[in-house]
Amino acid sequence: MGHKITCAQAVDYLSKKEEGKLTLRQRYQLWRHLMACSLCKLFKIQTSQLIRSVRQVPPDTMPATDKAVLIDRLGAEKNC
Amino acid sequence: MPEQLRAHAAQWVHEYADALYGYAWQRVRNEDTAKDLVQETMLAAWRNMDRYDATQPLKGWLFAILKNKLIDHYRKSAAGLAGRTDQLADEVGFFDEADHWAGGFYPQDWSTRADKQLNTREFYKILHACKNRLKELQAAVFSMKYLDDMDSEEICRELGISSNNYWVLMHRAKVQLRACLEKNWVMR
Repeated sequence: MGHKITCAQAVDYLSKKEEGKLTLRQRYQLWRHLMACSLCKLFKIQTSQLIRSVRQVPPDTMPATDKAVLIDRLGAEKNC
Repeated sequence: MPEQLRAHAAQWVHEYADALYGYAWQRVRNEDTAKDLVQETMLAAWRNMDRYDATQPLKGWLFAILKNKLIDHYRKSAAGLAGRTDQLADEVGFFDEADHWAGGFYPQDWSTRADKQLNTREFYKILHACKNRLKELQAAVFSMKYLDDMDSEEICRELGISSNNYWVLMHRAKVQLRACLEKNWVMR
């Protein structure tokens, strides 16, 4: 089966693969590319790592001064 | 201002502002936008209390309002995408003419830097900063996909963008986020 894909295509295919959007032929092309290309393999591993990490970033809290402003804004509204 | 009203407002803010802010903060590129979204959300809820179904948790209602406002915010960035190349274009060429990784942009092997752990406070700070450096729409599709678990079709529908644009945005987001992290954390 088929022609070689480029690194840019491999990066694109990796995202599409997550959603099952590759044809059998494209999956094979991606697999072959990753077997041969250590750079794209690194890209694949590192991207999954950082996607996992993005969910773990501890959320910031709202600064106290902005909370005070918000309380004033709400308190000044009549329709409550 | 009547003290009672103020006390009620303070109670709302103390109870819900941090959760709403944290949610928005993870999903928009700057803190002022997150603050504005929280303020608009709480004001909208406060003004429309008559529409609130008291059998449901207030927090859920506030989050529903915030999520709508976030989508509106994303849609504003998506409007007119067709005429703008800045959201879709690479500012640096990660790939050469043959579409292989360009020299200087080769992904490096992170495992050679065992001292750089991917779960420290500083790492998370840099990861967040790198995400905020993406273009607005790149960050939007990335967050919707990987924080909110939406699929590409839902995201295209919500943002009113073509699937072709979606895959380009996602491609750029990942390539740039990975490179930013490598430069500013792993290999620094």
